[in-house]
Amino acid sequence: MSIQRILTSLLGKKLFALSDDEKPRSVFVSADVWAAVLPPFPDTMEGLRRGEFRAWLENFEDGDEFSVSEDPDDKPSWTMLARVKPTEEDFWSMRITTPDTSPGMRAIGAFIGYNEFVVLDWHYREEMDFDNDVNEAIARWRDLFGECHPHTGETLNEHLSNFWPV
Amino acid sequence: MSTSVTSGPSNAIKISLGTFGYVRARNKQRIYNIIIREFKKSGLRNIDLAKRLGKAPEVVHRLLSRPQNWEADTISDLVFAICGGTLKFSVDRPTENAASVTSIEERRPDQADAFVRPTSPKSNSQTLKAA
Repeated sequence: MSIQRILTSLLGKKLFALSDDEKPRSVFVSADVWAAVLPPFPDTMEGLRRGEFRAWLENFEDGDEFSVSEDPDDKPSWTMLARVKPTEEDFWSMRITTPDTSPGMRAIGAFIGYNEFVVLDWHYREEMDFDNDVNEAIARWRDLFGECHPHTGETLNEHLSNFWPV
Repeated sequence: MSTSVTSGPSNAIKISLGTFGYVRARNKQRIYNIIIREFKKSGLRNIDLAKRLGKAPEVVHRLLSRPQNWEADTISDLVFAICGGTLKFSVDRPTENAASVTSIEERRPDQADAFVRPTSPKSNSQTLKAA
């Protein structure tokens, strides 16, 4: 079964479209991620961080400009989207680095097509065991998509539009 | 009590930090979009922009790396240095009929269609752009 057909079978059950409207990019999230970005966002630091997370995902969905790093060993600390190791698995970290007063958040996922991203897990950065958390996200992908590999390409142009390589 | 990120403030109720966080991030991204898109159109290199701004290239690289809490002067300097332009400001208002979502305990993911965000701008809204 193709990856797109698997996605269709998962929608509304294990994965959820962030928006029902047609957008320049598509974002699909797990139930955990959905719960984290569902408003209302409380009047707390946690609320602030989750509000920023929601905005990050909507900005991505709207086709906005994103800085992207392909090399996990050579990236600026402020990049917005970065490939993670093991690179052959083609997983990425969405890096929500604001507010500046917090360590930030990370959401791990993979491209399922051009301008289409599946967000599997999210974490407060200060609570992460990064490599282990990436491996868990990879395992979640395999539970959902079996042997289907994430969408990849030789260049960033094959992954998404409107990016700013850093 | 139901609330919505996009239905706008009402009465004298304090807007939550979380809601402000969401709105701030959306606005910072829109400003960043303008800067990056104008920079891409300009054909300038980082070093060229750095010279125009009187800053080190690595400072410019960092400035262009992500949406940030830029001061008005920083935004102004970047736009003018990139394209000689100034900004026009406008407001994109939420849809008047934005549905509310209840708390997480009451809302299942498959009821996500109840959460309505602004889609196409209404006639009384415009878009932030460089002039």
